[in-house]
Amino acid sequence: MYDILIVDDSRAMRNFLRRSLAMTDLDIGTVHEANNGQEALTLLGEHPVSLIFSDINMPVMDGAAFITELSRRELTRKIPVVVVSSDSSLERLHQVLGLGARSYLPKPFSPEMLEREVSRLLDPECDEALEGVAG
Amino acid sequence: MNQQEIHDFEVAHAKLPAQTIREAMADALRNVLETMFFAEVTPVEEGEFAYADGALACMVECRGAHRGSFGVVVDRAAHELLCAGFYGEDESDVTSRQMEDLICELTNMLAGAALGLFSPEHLCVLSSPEVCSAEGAGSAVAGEELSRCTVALDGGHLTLWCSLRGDA
Repeated sequence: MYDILIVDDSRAMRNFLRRSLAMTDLDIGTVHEANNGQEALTLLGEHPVSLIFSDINMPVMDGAAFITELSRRELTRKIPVVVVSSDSSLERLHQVLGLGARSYLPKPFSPEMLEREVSRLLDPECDEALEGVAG
Repeated sequence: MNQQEIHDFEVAHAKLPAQTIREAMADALRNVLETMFFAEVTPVEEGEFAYADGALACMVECRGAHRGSFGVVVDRAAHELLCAGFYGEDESDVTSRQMEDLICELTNMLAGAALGLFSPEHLCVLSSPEVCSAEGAGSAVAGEELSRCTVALDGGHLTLWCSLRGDA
């Protein structure tokens, strides 16, 4: 069972991600939410997770600072981070991957696109099966 | 993303045809509303409609490679249906807080998607979206180039406007 952390200052987006995760066939456990990177770091100290979704533009601690801090900490550096952002520029893509994010999901995205990305990061065998079905 | 997917992303960007800001806005409206709101959209010419009382509006500032602002105006009934699609709830169960949250998220998504199509190579930073008055939203400002793009949805209309500074 995979516990997930969603870091986004938009309640609407957190809700959409939570709902999209619930629609997948993945074995999703507890879905935690944080408003910003600072809240997320505090939460991670008490609740380890398998995957993190993070926005970029957030108050208090933005996504870039959050990902940088995750990569500095022994307990969190291996948690895959998927950046979810409305910014789809190449410059942003290279920036977040350079900081250590494992994936980049530009908006708009469908629940199916999200499932494929989560599968690839959490369950490579499932991802191969999906690719086989897709042909 | 693995290396192949990063490469594919870059190739896809390189193949994007040069778009005017208005073309980018029209594509952004269709992509965002169909993909994440499960809505059917029909382009509408300016002047063929008027917003009723109760319309909602929101705007966001943009800085970086392009400077100016983007905004959304939407009929209340249409927005209630968009909320229902996005949250997966019956429209009668959607709260006013959810409606306000969502018009901010929608404005952010539309601005980001339009900029990504208009200027895919360059980084632009968007401010936090702010709900504003629908009256006069998207009016021309001296020194800025105003573009507007409107679609018809179930329940009413939605306009995305953009005002970029001439020196951007």
